[in-house]
Amino acid sequence: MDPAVELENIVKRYGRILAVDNISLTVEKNTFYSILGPSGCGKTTLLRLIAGLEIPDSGVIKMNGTVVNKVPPEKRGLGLVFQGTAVFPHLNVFDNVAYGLRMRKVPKHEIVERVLEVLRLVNLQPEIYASRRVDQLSGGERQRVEIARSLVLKPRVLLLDEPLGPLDLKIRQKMQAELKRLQKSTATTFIYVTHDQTEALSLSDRVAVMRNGGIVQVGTPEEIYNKPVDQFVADFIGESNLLEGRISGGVFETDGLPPITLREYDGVNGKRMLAIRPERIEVMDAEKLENRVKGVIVDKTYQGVYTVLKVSVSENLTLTVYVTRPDVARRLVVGDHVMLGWRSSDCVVVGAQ
Amino acid sequence: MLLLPATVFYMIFFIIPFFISLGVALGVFLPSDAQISRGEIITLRYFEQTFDRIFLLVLLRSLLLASMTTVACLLIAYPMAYYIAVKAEKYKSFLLILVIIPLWVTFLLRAYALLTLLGPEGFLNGILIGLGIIEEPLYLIYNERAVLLGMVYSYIPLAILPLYSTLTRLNKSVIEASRVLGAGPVKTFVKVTLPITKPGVLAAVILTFIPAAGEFVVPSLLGGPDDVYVGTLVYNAFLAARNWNWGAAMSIVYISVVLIGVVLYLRLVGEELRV
Repeated sequence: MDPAVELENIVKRYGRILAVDNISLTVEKNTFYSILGPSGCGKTTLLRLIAGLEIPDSGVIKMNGTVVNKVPPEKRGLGLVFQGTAVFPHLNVFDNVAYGLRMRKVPKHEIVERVLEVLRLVNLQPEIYASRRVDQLSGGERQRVEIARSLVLKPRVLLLDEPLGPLDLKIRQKMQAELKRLQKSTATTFIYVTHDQTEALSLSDRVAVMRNGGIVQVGTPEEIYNKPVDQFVADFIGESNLLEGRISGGVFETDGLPPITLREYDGVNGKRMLAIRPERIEVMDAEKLENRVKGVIVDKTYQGVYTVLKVSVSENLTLTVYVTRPDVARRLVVGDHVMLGWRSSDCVVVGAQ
Repeated sequence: MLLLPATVFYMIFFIIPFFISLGVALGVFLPSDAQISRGEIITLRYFEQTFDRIFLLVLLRSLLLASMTTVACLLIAYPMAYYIAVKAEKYKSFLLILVIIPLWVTFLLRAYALLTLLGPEGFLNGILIGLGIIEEPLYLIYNERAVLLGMVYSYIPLAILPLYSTLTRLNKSVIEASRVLGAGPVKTFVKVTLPITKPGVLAAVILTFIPAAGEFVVPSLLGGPDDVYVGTLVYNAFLAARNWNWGAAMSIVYISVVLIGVVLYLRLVGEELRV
């Protein structure tokens, strides 16, 4: 079965800036595919190239197996939800959603049917919302109108460019869940651009991490999180303790920590980097774990869901630890001596395959 | 409270002068000697004098000229404003300055420039004759065509600015959204761009039509002896005939007609002005 979207060696320059540097990727049908990266990495440009709003300098874009480089945006069978809404301010909700259908000269009764159906799908009850003017809506409602406007055309692929950026946390979380549900229930391929790695990890079937115009790693959220391919990915995705050291004979050695025996390590020896996630380091009952080190708490920050501790274990090494249990977190104060422990299986050699 | 400066300005420069003119037109202020001897405090004779066939024809002609000027200005100014606001990235400020500069040069000089360019011994005729395209010079000045040309020439900057103002605030994503949803460039313009920029268009129409209807400098410099408009009549009443009451009456009638016309137009085109 042909993939929904295929990019082969796409390059795009703006003057002297190389926005997209020889990118190739494949998006399978009916997946939620995220393109994740910091601001300015080129992800919006990439999305616009897929949409047909920009033309690549070189490379091939295929949809459903067909080359679409010369096909204009309106004929590519996709929907596009913009960063910061682009609903038509001079039309009400119904007319906004019906716009694409009217362009296709769909018969009137069918338009009404489909618009009402899709409004219910995005949880905007037609009885209340259909005749509302767009400037009377909240940010979340406007975003849903824009999504409805694209979905009503039953596109094969829906492109979303950081659609939840300006929304409050609670609404954003609610919308994230809705987007996931919509993707599954309409069996559409979603290509979702974002700089928020929590969002990407929680929503996607696959994630492509971008940096400076290039793709650094592609994989499932678990792969990206647990097996980062380089320091950038390890650092960008969640927080990590990144340790530089040497591996020989399956043992990782670094200043400030006892040697860590890595089970089943068959990668390259020599100078390597090890990543340990802060939530995988225990501060209670550490004696039971294979790797232990003593340290002093030098910083404690309450962050609601967890408490962040900075523990100094040697002259130049401070580890970051997340404590989720509130009773434990409450008891610890800056200056306490603690024993930290972690499993070898929670250590990831960055870049190992 | 915030409206106070605007209200004061409006009172000083429009409401009060309007009522003063009305007073003059009714003979309440500046009564003529004949009127004083008759002992009339208010009279309608000046308004009667105004409602004669010639004045009404001239008024109609002025409105027609103002309409043609407005339409021509819109047709030229809109694409220019669109280009500057939407397409010209690097040269935007430069182009805006080019648009505004003519407003600083008094129209008198620009009118003479036009006369020189289009006159029988002027630049344009010189080239056409020199190239052998015509034998006799074209009569391009001191007639109605020259007046229209001069009007459009002077009013275009006034039309461009409000159009530019709404067009810069146009969200480009909305245009792209329309394209992706299946509307070609023409449909997008008609169904999206134009409705959204309506406030700018309305402002441009008003800013052009109202002053154009009363214009008398352009016709007097560029027009022939037959090119008489309302402005000319009022000017002559005040300065040639020295009949201020009559001049005032004509002004009041003209202002009322134009204002009523504009209000009707706005009602017709609908919506509050959200500029």
